[in-house]
Amino acid sequence: MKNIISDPLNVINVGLAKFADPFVAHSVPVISCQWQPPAGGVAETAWQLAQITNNPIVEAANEIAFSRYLEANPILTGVGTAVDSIPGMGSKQILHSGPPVAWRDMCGPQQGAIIGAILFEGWSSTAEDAQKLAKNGDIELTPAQHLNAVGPMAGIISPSMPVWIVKNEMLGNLTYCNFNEGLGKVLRFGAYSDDVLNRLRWMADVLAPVLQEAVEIMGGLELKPLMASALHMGDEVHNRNAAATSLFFRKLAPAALQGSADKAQISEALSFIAGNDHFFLNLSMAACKSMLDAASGVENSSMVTVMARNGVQFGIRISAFPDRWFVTEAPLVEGLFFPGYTGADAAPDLGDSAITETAGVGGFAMAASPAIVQFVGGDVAQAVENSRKMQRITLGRNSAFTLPMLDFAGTAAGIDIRKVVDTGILPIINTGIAHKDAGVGQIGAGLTAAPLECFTQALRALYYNLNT
Amino acid sequence: METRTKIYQNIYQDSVALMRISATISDMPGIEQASGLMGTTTNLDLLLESGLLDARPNTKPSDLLFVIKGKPEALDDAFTAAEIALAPKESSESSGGVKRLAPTSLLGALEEAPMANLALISTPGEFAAAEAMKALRAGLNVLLFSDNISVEQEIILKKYAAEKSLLFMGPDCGTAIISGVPLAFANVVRQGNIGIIGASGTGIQQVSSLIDQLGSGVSHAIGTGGHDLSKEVGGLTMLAGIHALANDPQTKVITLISKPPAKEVADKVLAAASKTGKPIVVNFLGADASQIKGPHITAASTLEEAAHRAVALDKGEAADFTSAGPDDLGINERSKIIARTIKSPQRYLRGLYTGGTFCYEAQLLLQNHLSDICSNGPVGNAQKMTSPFRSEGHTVIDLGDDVFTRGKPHPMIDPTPRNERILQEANDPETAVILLDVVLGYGSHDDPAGELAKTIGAARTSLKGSGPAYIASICGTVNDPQNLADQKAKLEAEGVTLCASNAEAVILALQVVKRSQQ
Amino acid sequence: MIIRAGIGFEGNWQGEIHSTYAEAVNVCVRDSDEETLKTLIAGEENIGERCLALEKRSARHLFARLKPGMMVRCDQLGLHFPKTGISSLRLTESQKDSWSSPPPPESILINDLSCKFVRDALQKEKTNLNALPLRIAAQTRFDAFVEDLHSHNKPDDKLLAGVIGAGPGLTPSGDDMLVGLCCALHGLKSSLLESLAVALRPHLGNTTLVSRLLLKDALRGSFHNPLIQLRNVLMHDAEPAKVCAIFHQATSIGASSGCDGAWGLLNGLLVFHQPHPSSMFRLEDTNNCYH
Repeated sequence: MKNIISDPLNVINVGLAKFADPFVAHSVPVISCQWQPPAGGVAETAWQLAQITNNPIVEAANEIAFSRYLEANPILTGVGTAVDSIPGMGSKQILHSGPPVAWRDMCGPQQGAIIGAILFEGWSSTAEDAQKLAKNGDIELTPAQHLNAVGPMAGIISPSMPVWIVKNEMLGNLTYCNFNEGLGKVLRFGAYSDDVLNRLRWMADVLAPVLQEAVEIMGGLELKPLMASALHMGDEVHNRNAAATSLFFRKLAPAALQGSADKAQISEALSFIAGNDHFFLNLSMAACKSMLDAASGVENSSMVTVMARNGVQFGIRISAFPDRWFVTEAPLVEGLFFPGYTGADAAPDLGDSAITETAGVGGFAMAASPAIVQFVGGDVAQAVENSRKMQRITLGRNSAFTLPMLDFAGTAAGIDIRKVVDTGILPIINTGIAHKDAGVGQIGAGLTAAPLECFTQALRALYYNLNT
Repeated sequence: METRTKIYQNIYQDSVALMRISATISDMPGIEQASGLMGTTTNLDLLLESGLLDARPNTKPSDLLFVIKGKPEALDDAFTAAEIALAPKESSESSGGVKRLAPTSLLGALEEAPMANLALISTPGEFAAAEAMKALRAGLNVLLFSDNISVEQEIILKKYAAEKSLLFMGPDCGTAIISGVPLAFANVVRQGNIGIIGASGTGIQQVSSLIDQLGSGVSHAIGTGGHDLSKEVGGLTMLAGIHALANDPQTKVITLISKPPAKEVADKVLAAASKTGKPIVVNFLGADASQIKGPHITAASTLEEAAHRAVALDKGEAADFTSAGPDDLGINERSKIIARTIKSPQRYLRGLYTGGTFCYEAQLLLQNHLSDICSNGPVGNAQKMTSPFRSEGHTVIDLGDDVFTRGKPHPMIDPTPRNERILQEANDPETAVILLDVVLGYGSHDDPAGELAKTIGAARTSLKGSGPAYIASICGTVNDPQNLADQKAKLEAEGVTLCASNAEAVILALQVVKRSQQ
Repeated sequence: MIIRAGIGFEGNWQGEIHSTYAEAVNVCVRDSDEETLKTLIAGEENIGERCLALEKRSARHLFARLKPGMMVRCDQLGLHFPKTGISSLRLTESQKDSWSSPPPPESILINDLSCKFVRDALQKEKTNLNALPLRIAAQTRFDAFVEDLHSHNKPDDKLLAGVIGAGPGLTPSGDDMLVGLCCALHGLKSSLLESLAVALRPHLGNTTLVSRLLLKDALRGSFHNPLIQLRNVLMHDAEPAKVCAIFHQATSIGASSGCDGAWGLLNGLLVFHQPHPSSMFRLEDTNNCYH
C-alpha cells in the first residue's frame, strides 16, 4: 500500500501545470500529464470507465483472454469449399465483411461483389437478375465474422468458393478466409465482369485442388513463425505481404510439385501466387482471426476481438460479448490516391482486414514496414511513433511478433477498450481505399482509425454488465 | 530592409532551442530572417561573404551572435523577443533533442512513474471524480482540488479510499502540506511536530503560517474538503487523517479545523481524536466551545487561538492563549490612533476578503458587537446583501464567491477584482475601515501585497490623502515564494495597519469603527 | 542515482556550473590556465569520458535546480553542491566500472549496408539541416577539406581554418564534422589523425569552449559513446534494426550536432578506407541479416 505520510512523496500532477512548481522546488519527483478529457468528453462515461478501471474481475478476465490470444497457434490445415467447410453455412447464403448490413444499405463495392458471387454461383445469369435476387431477400446475407470467417474489402464468400481452413492447435477452434485474387479488377472491390468471374472459377477448379493437396503434403503449416519472419523483412502482413508471400511460396512450391495434378495446372497455380504480392494477406487474416477467436467469449473481458467495416459502418466486438456488435458510421480513409482519383471517389472504410490490427500487426506493426509507410503517406518516424502509441491502449505485447525498429519489442496487442476510452488514442489501421462504385477497384491506400464511439458503447455495456 | 546584429555573452542555449527561437522570430511581422550563431571567426567570415553582415563585429567564439534582417521598425520588437526567449528558463520543460511521448492520461503517467504515490487532480469538475476514482483504483493517494463533485460521488470515492487504506483529500481541497511540501495553495512552512487536519484551505493556511511564525513546525496538513464533516459524508477523510496522524511518529500534536460539523459527526471525530492519546486542538469555527470536550482535547475559538495553543502544547507549555477581544488594552491603544484619521460621515466597516474562511471568521467575531452586518455569505446574525456588488452599512464580502469568480480566476490568483472593489469602497464617504486579508504561498499571486499597495496608494491620491483606514493581516511565511517580510514592508509603506492574524485584524477594525460612531 | 562515471570525470576538482540543459549540465573547471568541462548527463546513452551519467528521472529533477554560477566540488566521497541545500551525490554508488572511450577495432572493415543506410538516412535529414544558417557552407567546406586531405595526404591549413567554428550550433557544424572525421581516422588506425592534430591545434582558439574540448578529446582518440556505437555498426556487421536504433541515438543530439558528427564519421570512413579485395564479395551475403 502506498503511504504518503510515512514515505517520501512522488506525485502525478493531473490538471493545472502550475501545481507542479512546489514539487520541483522541493526536489519531489513529479510527472505531469497532458490531460485531455477521457471518453470523448462525456463525463458520465468517464465516471463509468473510472469505476471499471483496475477492476479485479475485468483484470482476471483479460488475463485469460489475452493469454489465450498469445498462446494460440494457428495452423493452416487445409483448403475446402465454403459450404462444406464452414459449419452453419447455408447453400443459398453469402458472407460479407463487417457488421450486419441490409442489401439496400450496402456500399457500391459490396453490392457489386454480391452480384458477382450470385453470377459465380449460377443463381442468375445477368447482373440485373442477380440484383433483384439480392433485393428480394432470396439470398441470406451474413457477416463472415458470425461464422468464424473473414474476408478483405467486400469480404464475399459464397457457398462454392474455396476457403483457407486454419486451426488453432491450442484450443481447436477453426477459422476461414477466402483466396486472394490479386490486384486490379477483382470481386473484393466489387467487379463482376467475365474475366473476374473466370478467374474465380479457375481459382475454385484449379488453384484450390492444387493448394489443398500441397497443404496435405506439407502436413499443415504453422503461420505465426512465418508472419514473425515477414515482420523482420519489411511486411506488416496487412498492406504489405511481399515477404510473407515469398516465404509461403518457398514452403508451398516443393509440396505442390509433389502433387498429383497435371504439371501445367501446378505451374499455373504457382505462377499465379508468384505474381501476387498480396496472396498471403488472406492467410494472415485467417491466422489473426484464429488467435482472436481464441480470446473471444471470456466473461467481462474488455479485450477487443473484432474490428471490421462494411463500407457503411465500423463495428467492434469484445471478448465479453462475443455475439454483440458495437457499431458507428465507418470513417473515411486519409491517404494517398492513385493518379486520377480523389477523396470524393472513395468508399468509406471497408473490409475485415482490420482483424490484423486487432491481432497486433498491420498498423500496429507499422514500424516493421518502412515501405508501406511511404505508400500510405507517412514517414518512418511517424510509423515508429504510431507503433509505440498503440502500446498505450493494449493489454500487453506479443513477443511472437517483434519490431526491429523498436529494439525487437513485441507489437502492441490485445486492445483494451478501457484504455482507448481513457486516452482517446484510437487503434490505427492501415488500409486500401476502394472506389465507391462497384468494380472500379482500389484507388489508394492510407491510414484510418477505429472510431471512439464503438469503444464507448462497448464500455457502457461492460459497465452495466458488471454493475447490475 | 535592415540587418542588425547583437552580441550576447554567457548564453548557452542548446542548438535545438536556438533554432526554435530563430524560427519564431523569423515569423514575426516585418522580419525576413533571424539567425542565432556562435561568434567564431569562421562564422563571421561566412556572414560577411553572404552579405548578411557588412562589418565585422567584435566577438569572441563563445559569444552568441543574433543577426536579424527585417523592416527597421520591426527590429526592436524582434530583439526584445529574442532576449526574452534567450533568458534562462526556470521551468524544467525538456528542450533536449530526444523525442518522448508525454503521457496523456493519469494511468499513462503512472506507467512512466510507477513509484508515484499521490495524484494531485485539478481537472474540470465534471471529470474530476472519474480521475480520482482511477487514481484510487491504481493504488494512489489523492488530493482532489477540483470542486463540483456530487455528494454521491464523494461518498463512493471516500468509502473506496477507506477500504483500501488510502488517503483521499478533497473534493475542493485547496491546501495540504505533506512532509513539508506544499500542495496546491499552501505555504512553505517549517517541518515540525504539529499535524493539521482541516476542512478549509485558508483555515489550514492561517494556522500553519502562524505555527511557522511562532517558531514551531508542521508535520503534515491534511485537507478534507468542505463537505467532509457533513452528515452524509460523515467525516470519512477527517477520520482517516486522524488515523494516519495517530500512527505518524513525527506528529506530536493534532489540530482539527472545520466549520461546526453535524452533531453525530462531531462526536465521532472527537472520540477518534481523543483515542489517539496525542494532545488535540479543535477549532470548529463558531461552535459552542463547551460542546468540544473530551480527554486530551483543547478547544480554540479562532484560527489564531488554534495555532497558538497547538504551539504551546508542542513546546510543553500551558495552552492558554486567547485571541484579543474588544476590551484588549493594546488593541484599544492602536484603535485610538487609527480612529484619529476617521471623520464623519465615515462610520462603516468594509471587509474585502479573498479567503472564504477569513470572511466567515470575521462575521463570527463581529456578530456580538455589531448589530447590522451584511455579507454575500452571511453567518450567524448577518444579513444577506441585496446586491453583492454594492455594500450597505457594515459589510463583509467573500470575493472568492462564485458570483465574483464565474469565468474568472480566484482573487488570490488575480487581485484585480478586489482592487477594483477597494477603489469603490474607498470612494464611499461612509467607509471608515477597509479590512483585508493577504494570502501568500504557492498558487497565490506572485506579489499580492505589491498590487494591493499600488491600489491603496492610488485610492489615497485620488482622495487627496483622506479616505478610510486600512487594516490587514498577511497569511504566509518568510519562506513563501513571495516572502512574508517583503510583503509586509510593501503594505506598511502605504500606511496599512498590519495584524498578526485575521482575528486580531477583525477586532482592531471593530474598535476603530466603534470609535468612529461615538 | 549515479549510473556510471566517465574515466575523466572523477578526481579532486572544483568548478562552477557553466550551462544547464534539460538533459545535461556542464561544469567548468579551471586548472591553472586550462579550462575543461565536466558534464552531468541524464541516462548513460550519451556518455563520454568527461561525463557523469545519472539515472534519468532524478537527473532531470536535479538539473532543474542547478543554475549557472553555482559551485560544484568533487572529491573521493562524491560530488557536492555547497551552500545550495542540494544533497551530495556519492560517486561510489555506481555499480559499473568507469567508462572509457574504446581503442580502435581489431579488424578494419567497412559494412557497406550500414553505410548505405546511414547515408540515406542523413540524406533525408538534409532539408531540415539545411534550413539552419550557414549549415550548407559548413558542409561544403568540410567536404572540400576531406577531399583535399585524401588527395594530398596532408591537411591544408587554409581549408582547415575555414571549417573550424563554421556553421550553426553551440558546437558549430564544422567542428562536429571534424570530430566525426577524427573518429573515422582513429577507427581506421590512420596516421592522418596525428597530422590532423598538429594542424588543428593552432586553430582551437577559434571556436566555443564546448567544441574545443570535444575536438581536443577527439584528437587523442576519445569520443562520446553514440559516435563510438555508430562507428561500430558502420565498420562491422549489424542487424539493420540495430543500425537504425544507433543512428537515431547518435543523431538525436542537438539540432544538427548529431547528424554533423555522423556525416564526418561516415564521409571519413568511406574516403579513407582502403578496401580489401575480399570485401567485394560481402554484399552477396545479405540473407543473413534476417536470421
